[in-house]
Amino acid sequence: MAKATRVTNSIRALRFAHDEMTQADLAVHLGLTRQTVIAIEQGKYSPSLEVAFQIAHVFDRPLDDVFSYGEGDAL
Amino acid sequence: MNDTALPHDETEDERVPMTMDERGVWVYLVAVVVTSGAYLAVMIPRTLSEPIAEISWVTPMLWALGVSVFSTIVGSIVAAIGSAVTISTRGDNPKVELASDERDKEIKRYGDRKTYGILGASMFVTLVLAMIGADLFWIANAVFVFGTTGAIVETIVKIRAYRRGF
Repeated sequence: MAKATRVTNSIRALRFAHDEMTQADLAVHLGLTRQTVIAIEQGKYSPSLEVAFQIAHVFDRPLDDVFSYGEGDAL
Repeated sequence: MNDTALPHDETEDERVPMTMDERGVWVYLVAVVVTSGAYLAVMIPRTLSEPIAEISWVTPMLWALGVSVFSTIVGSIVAAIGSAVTISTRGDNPKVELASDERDKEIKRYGDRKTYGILGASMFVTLVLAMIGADLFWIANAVFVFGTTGAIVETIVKIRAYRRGF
């Protein structure tokens, strides 16, 4: 199925790199539902800028390490 | 990072329960389809067989609207209780599984936006019917049909957004 957004992310990999953090744990950190975390991971939902920064903050990474936009696409 | 090389937690991607808002959308869709379908099933044969001026449409329409609102409220409450029981049985966190968040709010706005066109068409048709002096039956039922159509489109758009993204 085509993804709803061209924003891709490394959240799944980052979760596993952080003591195999579960989607539910990340949802608690962010104040979101697990369904929303799943939708973000699967590229079905682009979070708000604030949530994007919060996700980067949870993993202690810059935003660019967590999210990227359509590699090679012209802006 | 390459996600395919990651260990897979079986519990992570299992079918997750719907959020409370998504359940509400489903309940609303079912309520609108059933009550409006029942109303139309009663009214269309009458419209075809009786003079318009003699058709009693106010009471059936009030019933359809009332039952739709009531069943949506009751259905949402029952669905919420059912979800809470299921989640507590599984030992999951209800706040993480059921609460509303920014995605729910955005999907609500997205669904509302998609029905503006139907609302506009409804107003236009109603105005034209009033201008040409159409019977109240036609004016009221035009509003009802457009309202039903708008509600169905709105809920389908929202469900699609929940399932496939937007």
